[in-house]
Amino acid sequence: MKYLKISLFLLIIGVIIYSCDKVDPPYIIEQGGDDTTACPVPEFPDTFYVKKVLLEEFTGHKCPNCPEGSLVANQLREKYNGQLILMSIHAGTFADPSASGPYSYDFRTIAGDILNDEFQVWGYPTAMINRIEISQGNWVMLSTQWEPTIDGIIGDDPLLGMQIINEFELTTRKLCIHVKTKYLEDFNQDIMLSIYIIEDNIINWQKNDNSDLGPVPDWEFYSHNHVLRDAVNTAWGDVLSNGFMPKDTSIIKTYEYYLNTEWNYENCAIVAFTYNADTKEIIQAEENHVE
Amino acid sequence: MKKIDLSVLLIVLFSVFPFSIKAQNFLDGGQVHGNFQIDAQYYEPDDKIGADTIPEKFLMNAFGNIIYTNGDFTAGFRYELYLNPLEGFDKRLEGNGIPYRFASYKKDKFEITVGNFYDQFGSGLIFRAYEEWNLGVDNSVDGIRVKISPFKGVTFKGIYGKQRYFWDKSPGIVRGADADFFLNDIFKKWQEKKTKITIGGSFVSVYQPDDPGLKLHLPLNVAAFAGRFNISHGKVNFSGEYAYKINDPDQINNFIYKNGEALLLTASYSQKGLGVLLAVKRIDNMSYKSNRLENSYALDVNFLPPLTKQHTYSMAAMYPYATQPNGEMGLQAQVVYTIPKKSKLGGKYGTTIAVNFSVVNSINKQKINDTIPIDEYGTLGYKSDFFKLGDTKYFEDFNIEITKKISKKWKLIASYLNIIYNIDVVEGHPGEEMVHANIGILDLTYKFTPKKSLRLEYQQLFTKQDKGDWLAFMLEFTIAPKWFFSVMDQYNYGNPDNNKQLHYYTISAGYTKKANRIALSYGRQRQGIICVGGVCREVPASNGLTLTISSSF
Repeated sequence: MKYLKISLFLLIIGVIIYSCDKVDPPYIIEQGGDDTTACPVPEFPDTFYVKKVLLEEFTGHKCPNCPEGSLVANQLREKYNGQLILMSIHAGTFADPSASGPYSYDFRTIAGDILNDEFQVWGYPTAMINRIEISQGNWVMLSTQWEPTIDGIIGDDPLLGMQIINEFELTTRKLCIHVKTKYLEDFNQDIMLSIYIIEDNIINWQKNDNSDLGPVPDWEFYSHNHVLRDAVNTAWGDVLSNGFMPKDTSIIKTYEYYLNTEWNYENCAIVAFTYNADTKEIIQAEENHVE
Repeated sequence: MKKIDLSVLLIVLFSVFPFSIKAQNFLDGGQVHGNFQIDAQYYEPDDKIGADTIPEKFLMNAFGNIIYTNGDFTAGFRYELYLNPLEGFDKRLEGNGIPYRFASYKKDKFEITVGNFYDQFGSGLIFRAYEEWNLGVDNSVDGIRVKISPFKGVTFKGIYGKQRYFWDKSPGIVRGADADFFLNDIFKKWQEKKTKITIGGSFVSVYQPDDPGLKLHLPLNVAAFAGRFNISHGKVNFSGEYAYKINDPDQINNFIYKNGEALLLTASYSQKGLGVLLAVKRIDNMSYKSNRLENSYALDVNFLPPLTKQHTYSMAAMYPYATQPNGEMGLQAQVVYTIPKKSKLGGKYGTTIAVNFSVVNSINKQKINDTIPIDEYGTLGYKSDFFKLGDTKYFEDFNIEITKKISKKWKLIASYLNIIYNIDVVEGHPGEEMVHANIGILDLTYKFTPKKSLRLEYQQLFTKQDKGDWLAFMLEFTIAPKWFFSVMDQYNYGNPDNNKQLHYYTISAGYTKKANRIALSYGRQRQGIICVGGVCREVPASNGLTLTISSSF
């Protein structure tokens, strides 16, 4: 009987040791427009391309100055009439959810945390404009600097043209994202493509210290807009092209994605942008609603 | 959620109704015991201290444990209520019901438990299921546990189940086995030896289904193993445990694939009037959870013991250390010496001096190559030299405590602490300066009669960082063993913001009779963190009336 018990125990140990998966690199599952079976590529209509700029705001629900930052960003969006795309990244200490109470909702994302670290965000609210490195090791700037920085680049001719077509099935919440990038000049650099999901009008608590904007110090029914929800192809995206690409080349990438049931699809949009793999600076951006 | 499982009903019915003759016998000689606790608070908004308005005004956490034992059989359950959870507790606790129920049978060298159980392998480096009411932590396993002792000195343990996750269960399945060998019992010729040796080993594996949203090739089965020893020889004791975990990308480590390691070594010496302890540890990527997406304290499969002294005085506990599972190297040394009675220095009643020092640093981390940043998502993360300290200090605490009974009427405890606290890392306040704090505490008790005493606590904290200097004062009158009354104030007179130089006053009273205790307090609670065993939770500022009732039978 004793030996039976010991054998049984050794058997359990054996099973447990066997229950161990060692993963070899590469660890990341490569994406890159290979979902065309599940998502047949539609025809893209002809269009006229204009330069678009991405403003990525770093914010947090416990940041009392952040409603003012969002106000500035929204005013700028109106000013530039669709040429400015906004994204709010909840990251850092002000975005930490409380264990309980009003501020327990977690707005943070894995991609947002990565960006917050990589771009060495030193304050909230701050923003990156097209991820331009404004000084050595400094990408983010205070709201007073946003407008002059955008003014300096928004009038440039677009070097790349981007279009997004989204096809959403409500029952399965399957989303097919098709992104076309057209090279409007000869290019000789490595280009990356990133695709993020944002959501508008998430009603939740926000700290606020400006009574002209809303209740202070706690704004219960604050509308959080352009909130980064996820990165479809990881925080750093996929390689779009390496090295030389002649003018007028077009590349279409397709992604299959299932929208989180917690998110209101009617308020969700896809933000796609292309950037220089070396400098990380964004070359062109585009936005389109999920539905 | 909130529903009683069938198994609970069966346990309860089986315990209450005599189904058969056998069941009647089963009830003969049975004993029921248990305990209850109610923690409730009435909240008042207080803008000055940043206490939010609580819509419910009144919040309550409560539990009741009922345990039935009859010979070899034990069964029990715990009812819990969080309506709604007290401020500072995880709001996912909201609800009421029976999250914990079990039945256990033990005969000779065999024990089996079904339902929820708490247990740990060794020091817990790869498995510890425990609950800590004050933190709102409960990671009990709901499953099956078997213990067998086939020979004297040999114990095997096997566990299988899912962990409690508030009112739900973990997505991952936890499987584990542990073996413990007390060599002096196993080998006859060692039985009489003064040197006692125990060795042990354990294995744990967690299974969690794939998560396509992460776009990673995930290990679905994450295993960890550990080996340990304990050698004692008279007054000297030496113990250690080493644990290893294979690739376990999760939210805490930013989904890196590096293996995890932990080493804990402790040496101690104790004799009458003298105790010496020296402990070292190294933790490297050892967060181990039954849900790779969980980033709170919930669903920890393992426990990483802290090597820092847990302080009880309010100012000393201002900057408690929280274990950093992604990597830390620490050391703790402690000497407790009692100067004998009737000696020159010891005085009539003796004097006890306790000196404690602990320090925790980051571990050395190097890039795996030139292009991949440290801790990059979906990579090996970093390389680390096992014996090399990292550049960042997380925590340092030097403290000395002198306890002296001056006369029959007077008793004094005097303490000094010097704490260095990396608030950026421990509390996640990026960019905030390292806190250097000096703390002095005087605790003086005067006994009017053997039953009536008055205790005065005076504490002062000096720091140029964080919220600046504090002063705390408490007066407590006790009529043993039933009554206590106290008034307390913590005053943040050194806050760099003049508007925040506030008083946090509290008055309290309590009554204890046998195993029943009721306590009331009214006042302000400052914002801070509380830690038990290196696991911490944030406590928001609050103001109001707190009621605690506890009872056991």
